Amino acid sequence: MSAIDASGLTKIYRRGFRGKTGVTALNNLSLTVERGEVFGFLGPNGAGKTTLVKVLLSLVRPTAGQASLLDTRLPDTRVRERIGYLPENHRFPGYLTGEQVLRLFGRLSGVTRPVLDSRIPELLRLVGMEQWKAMKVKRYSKGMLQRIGLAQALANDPDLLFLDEPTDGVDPVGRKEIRDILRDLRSKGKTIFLNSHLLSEVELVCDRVAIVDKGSLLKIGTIAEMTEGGAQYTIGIDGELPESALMEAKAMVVKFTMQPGTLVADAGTTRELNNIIDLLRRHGVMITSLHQQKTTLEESFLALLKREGEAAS
Amino acid sequence: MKTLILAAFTARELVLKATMLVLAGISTVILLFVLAGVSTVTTPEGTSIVLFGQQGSPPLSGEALAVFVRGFEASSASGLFAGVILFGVLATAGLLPDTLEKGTVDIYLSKPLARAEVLAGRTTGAAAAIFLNTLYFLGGLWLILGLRTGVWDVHFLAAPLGMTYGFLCLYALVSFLGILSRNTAIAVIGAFIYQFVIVHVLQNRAAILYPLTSSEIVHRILDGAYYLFPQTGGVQESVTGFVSGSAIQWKPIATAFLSSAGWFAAGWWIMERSDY
Repeated sequence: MSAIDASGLTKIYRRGFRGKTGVTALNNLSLTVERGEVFGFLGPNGAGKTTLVKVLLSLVRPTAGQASLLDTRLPDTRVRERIGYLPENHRFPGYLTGEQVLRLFGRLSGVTRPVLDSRIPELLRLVGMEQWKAMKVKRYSKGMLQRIGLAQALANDPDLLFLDEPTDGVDPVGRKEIRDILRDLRSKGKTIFLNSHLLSEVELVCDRVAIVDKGSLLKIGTIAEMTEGGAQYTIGIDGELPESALMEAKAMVVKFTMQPGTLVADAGTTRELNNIIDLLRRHGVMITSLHQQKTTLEESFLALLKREGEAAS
Repeated sequence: MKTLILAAFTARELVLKATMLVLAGISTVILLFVLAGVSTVTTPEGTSIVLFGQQGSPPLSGEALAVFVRGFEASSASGLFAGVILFGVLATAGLLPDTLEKGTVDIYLSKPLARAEVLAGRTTGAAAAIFLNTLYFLGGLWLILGLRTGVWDVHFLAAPLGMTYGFLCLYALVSFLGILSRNTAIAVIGAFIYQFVIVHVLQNRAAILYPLTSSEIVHRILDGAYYLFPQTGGVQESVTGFVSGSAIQWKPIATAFLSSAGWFAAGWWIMERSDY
């Protein structure tokens, strides 16, 4: 039972006279998102992230390929009753208050008036907008707009939520609150598809991520899978490392640097790390500290894009 | 149901617009002016209309008074028709381009709404707002004239409906231009060029365009073009005639309906095939 199932999605935006030239926004992209997952979709600007969401929401027609949401083959209008969407740079009618925005879009999502009567106060409380519910949205700050946008996306209690840069313009406290909301939704079995440039945010909330560039899927996996491939260890030592030990250590690991009192080693596995420690101890070196610096999602992301760029050129 | 929700929201949006509020204010001032200034005096010779203390008509019999009031109402309907639909176009031309703007269209179309429902909801809401505004003024005028003269001619109450119909005919073209260009200015300018230039040229094509070529085929194409565009002029004549007591002319209403339906369908077709 998948929440999103995309197969061979291709989107070419036709340009020029009679559409003879085109920009490929999605290139034979296939992916599956399971129900209950928080899935991060990452890529540089123009990679095709928003296009994929728009194709899945039938805002954009794919040139080729097919997709289904919540096991419903697209295009299908009714399935959107179970979907919430917070677009990037969304605009609400400025003369409506926050509460009226939730009422309008909740009704358009198919929620009945009595259900909304009880749901709107809950949503306002959830996104911390209770005290600004009667203010017109044209007076809202960017962060407030994001919060009310998230609330409107949740108005129909969706099974699947698409969020495009949900923490854009939100202060650190607000970001933490949004992360907590997303975790709470996950605990309720909701599926969340998150488009974001903030990789540290994605790393904190997502179960799995996909990296896309130039419309193609480069890599997909869990955060652990994405960031695997070695960790860097800083080993504090007392005294000098003998030359013979230095030579031996350099042969053991991929990368090895030495500063007075500190060794920095990139160990691919725990065994490699232990081998270095054994070596140091064998040469009578006193270890004073050991600090692990794991590869972050951002570093993996940048490294992957760099490799792809080099391969392409 | 969702179409009605969107229609109600659209009508509310328009009614609260500054232009609509100003129009409602002007209507109120005119109605108060008529209420304060128009009265009647009945003598054995008949009933005279009094305008701000001055005798506005000679003593009239009951039938003549009814004819007089009906004539006034028909003139009002005729005089206001073009103004109402052009004002309506000005006030509503931005509805669809605004809806289709990035950041807004995403939210609407992510809801369980077909694109046709968005078009229908916006159009119905626009028509409702224009109808309410027109009904407020013309209904108020009808009420005041009825109270002051005792002439209650229900034909006049068809005028707001007829004007809204005329507005819808022109709005079909405006919505098509708005969907095509996603630009309010282009939609408004296009509608005004049509209403002030094209409609007159095509209506008088025999005098203006036929002499340019003797080709019968071109003449027939020009005839077709005339029926292709919404004929608000024909609707106006029909509505005014009905208000003044004549039988309703269905032909211009039917041809305008077909033409408008065609423009709405073309707009919907483009909307369905567009990426947003």
